[in-house]
Amino acid sequence: MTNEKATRRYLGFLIPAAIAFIGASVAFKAADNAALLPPPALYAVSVVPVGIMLGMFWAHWRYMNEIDEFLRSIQVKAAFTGLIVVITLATGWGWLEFYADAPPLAIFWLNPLYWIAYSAAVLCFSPRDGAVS
Amino acid sequence: MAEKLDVSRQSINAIETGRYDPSLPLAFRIARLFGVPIEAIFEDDGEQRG
Repeated sequence: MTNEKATRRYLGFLIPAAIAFIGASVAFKAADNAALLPPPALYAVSVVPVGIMLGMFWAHWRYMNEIDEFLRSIQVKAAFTGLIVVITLATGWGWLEFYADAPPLAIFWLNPLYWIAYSAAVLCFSPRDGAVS
Repeated sequence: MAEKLDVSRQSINAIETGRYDPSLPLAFRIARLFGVPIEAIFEDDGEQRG
């Protein structure tokens, strides 16, 4: 498989999945606000956005296996950067919540934060490593 | 060249400009493509420094 085809396949899955995840999250919040579903049902329905999220990571995993080694090295660095940002912020903010009465941050935001940090890292590493000519 | 080696154009560019060191299998494929030994294409920086 060519890199171009792998990228098209990846984005072809990721973009609709991201839209579905946002839609499911909004629907979830609306259902909760309107008290449409009892809490046990909300637990059950949460499988939908979580499943979509796992699908996004699966697509990312597949993409990293399909592209060539140089492009993969950029993806690995970017994914690791995303992980560093998420773990560091979660731990740092957690300490502030424990000891400095910082307002609680919902861990829901760690997933979008990961994707934002990962995307920013790809945009940073690609030209630096020569992947954009 | 990228097509023959089954890698991206960006990979060839990064290798040519010294921003990426290819894996051993890819280095062998490049050497085979040119029909020369691997040492004729890639230099060992460590040896140069030594």
